[in-house]
Amino acid sequence: MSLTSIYLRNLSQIFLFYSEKSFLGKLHPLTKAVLMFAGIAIAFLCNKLVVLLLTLATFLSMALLSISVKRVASLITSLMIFISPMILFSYIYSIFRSPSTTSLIGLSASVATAIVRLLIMSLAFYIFFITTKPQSIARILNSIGIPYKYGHGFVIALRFLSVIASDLIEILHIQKTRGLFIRRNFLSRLRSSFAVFVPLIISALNRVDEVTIALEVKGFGLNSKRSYLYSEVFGFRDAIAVLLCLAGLAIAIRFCI
Amino acid sequence: MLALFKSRSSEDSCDPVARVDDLWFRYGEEYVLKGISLQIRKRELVLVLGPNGSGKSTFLKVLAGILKPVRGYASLCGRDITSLSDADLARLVGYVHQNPWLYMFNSKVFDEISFVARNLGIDNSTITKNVLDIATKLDIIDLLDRSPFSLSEGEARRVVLASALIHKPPLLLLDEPTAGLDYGLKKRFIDIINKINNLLETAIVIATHDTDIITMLPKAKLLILNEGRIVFRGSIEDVLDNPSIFTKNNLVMPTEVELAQRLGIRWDRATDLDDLLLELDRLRKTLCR
Repeated sequence: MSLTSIYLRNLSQIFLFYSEKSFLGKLHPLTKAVLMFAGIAIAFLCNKLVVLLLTLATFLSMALLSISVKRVASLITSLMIFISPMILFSYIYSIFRSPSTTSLIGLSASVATAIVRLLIMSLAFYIFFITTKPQSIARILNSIGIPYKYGHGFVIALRFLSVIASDLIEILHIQKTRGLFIRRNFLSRLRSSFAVFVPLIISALNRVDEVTIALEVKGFGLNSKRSYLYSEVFGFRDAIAVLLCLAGLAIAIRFCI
Repeated sequence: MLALFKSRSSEDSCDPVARVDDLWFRYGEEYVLKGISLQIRKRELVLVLGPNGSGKSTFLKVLAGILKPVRGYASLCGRDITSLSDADLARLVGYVHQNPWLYMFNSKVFDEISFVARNLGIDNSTITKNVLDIATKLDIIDLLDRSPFSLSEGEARRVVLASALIHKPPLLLLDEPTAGLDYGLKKRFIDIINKINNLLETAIVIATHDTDIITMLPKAKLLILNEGRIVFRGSIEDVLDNPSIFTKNNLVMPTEVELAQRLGIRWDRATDLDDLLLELDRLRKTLCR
């Protein structure tokens, strides 16, 4: 499998629900949402590398305890592949602008902070999406006042990413067997991107059409309100977890600001 | 251009077209191909049957050079698949995926069919000649000026087949070619495959779970794949001597064969669906009396 396929496959798995068996899976979706926003808030507000590293260690431990090591490793690898050109470009730019040791040390510290922040945010999102059922996400969005049509639309869009990524991998395979990637000049290679994106767009539109029909025949969106057969109970365990999240956020902010 | 002719002449004489020895492949930790060995000769028609998840499509992808085997050896025209360039793979293999719409992007069917040949740098006059030739053979000559997006499912499949055959590759791989087609379209498509097999030197490998096409491909060499292993290899007659092989491997018995069996007739190549229907009609009349 090519690097592109592995990369696309890894990224496409990010928003897929994985398992309920872990301790995070048993928590109320709202608790996990608080955990996610706490992580994002610390990543955004905090500048101290030590605090960020401690937060990263916490999220990484939670991810490793509730999700398989392989999945977490593939997420981190994909992210690193994605940001590595940007890091390289920052170093090249810095060397050309002011080629001194001090600026390189400063740049390295900034790059390290940026990587840690990105990892915290990615793991926070990952933990939430992979351990929460899609219908629970839609229910939370509905409970905070977002019309269920848009909540479900959001969830379907997230689920769609993995389907589109699978189609993209198939199209890349197909067009490879048709000689699309035989080395030629830049212009013809640019033109050949149509061979990938036109079938991808058409396939996505066909799927959207099918989903729309499936939703319409089930009466989706006929009423502004809807009832739910299942709902999670916000228990004592959730209350403790929310308090711990808020306490962690408060401590991080206290040390950073 | 000279290089292309040189390589073509060496491919023309390539036999066996493909060879795999103790081939293993896995997705993550799970092995989906376990020790597959096979040799495919020129003009040979190989039917790979197996239930969903048996490893058929993965096997075709390895033969097409899309996936690299984790263990074992696979070669095309005597050359190790892993050492072949994208251009070599495109020249040696025609790959037809079950979803024809993942191919289409040109504004005309003619351009869609000629796409591979253009990527391989074949000159315009040869391309035009080849397109007209293959379009005549596949009965799609009337479609050449149409938009690919206006085609029916059956037409789109024939266009994709033409596109895979335009440069006369030594090996043609068809992944679930009859998926979603009704009996009439299925029969028509398989008739085309038989026609290609008679007219061209191309070896054809068909991967499918559709057992109904067995009776439409009398010359095919049959392989049954289950859980990544070849569990049966032989001719259609061989499998019909032991029809329980279908149910043992989560496959449905071909309708014609089951019908013949229930009517107390042994199905063979000479048995036609019309013969079975006549027998059914005779039975119905007897019962009505």
